[in-house]
Amino acid sequence: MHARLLDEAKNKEPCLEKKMEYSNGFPRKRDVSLQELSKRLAEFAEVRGWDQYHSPRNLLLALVGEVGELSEIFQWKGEVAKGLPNWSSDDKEHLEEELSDVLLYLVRLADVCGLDLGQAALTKIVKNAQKYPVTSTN
Amino acid sequence: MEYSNGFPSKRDVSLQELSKRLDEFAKVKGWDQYHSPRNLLLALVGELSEILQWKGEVAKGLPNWSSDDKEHLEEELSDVLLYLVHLADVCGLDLGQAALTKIVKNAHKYPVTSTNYTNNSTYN
Repeated sequence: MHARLLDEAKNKEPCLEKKMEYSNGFPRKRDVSLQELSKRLAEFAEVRGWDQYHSPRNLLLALVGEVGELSEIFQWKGEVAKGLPNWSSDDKEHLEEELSDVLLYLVRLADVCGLDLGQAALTKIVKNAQKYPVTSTN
Repeated sequence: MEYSNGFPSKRDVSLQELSKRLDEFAKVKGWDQYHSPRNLLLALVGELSEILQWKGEVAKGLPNWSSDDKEHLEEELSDVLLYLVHLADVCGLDLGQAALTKIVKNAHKYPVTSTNYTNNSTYN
């Protein structure tokens, strides 16, 4: 069974609209940049005339709503182990969609505020490393 | 920080790069044991509650915001992003690919219509 699943996964052609392959134990198809997401979201909003509604507070509240939906997935599951053992493909796909919605609103919010989220995140990682230095206790 | 509003970004940043650095960070500090999916979700929720509090309505591009306030907002948004990336990794999911897929799904779900252009032209 396991070997068959591996063979099946290897033979799949990469395609955005095909069923998701999960990255746990499999190589990622390709890296994704924040700027790419940002550009596609800007185009999406502009061509649909949605820019007028994308104020910072509107986007923040949309983001909070999506985090609520993300939370719902975990709400009644009790503690969840890393890698989500025993989750069905459908549940994993649903989770990917909700995580994606949070990410997309976050990226859009940063853009509308005129901030460089990618650079800010790298800077924050550096600050965190300085704030929590490694000690022998760890 | 230099702000990207009107300036080119210093360089592009990929989700995989953030993911790798977060993983190294958690391991070297012995925090992996605490990074269960639900713990990370709750940490993310905590970071969200601090964003744009008490600001009232905010215009695009944050005119009249001080550099300090902008930097603070960047830190808060970064914290949300970092927890989100790490949560996806701990769940064994490819967030970048999932996001691209979701954009495609959304484009199908909300197709461009002539109504959009009509509305658009009204406002422009």
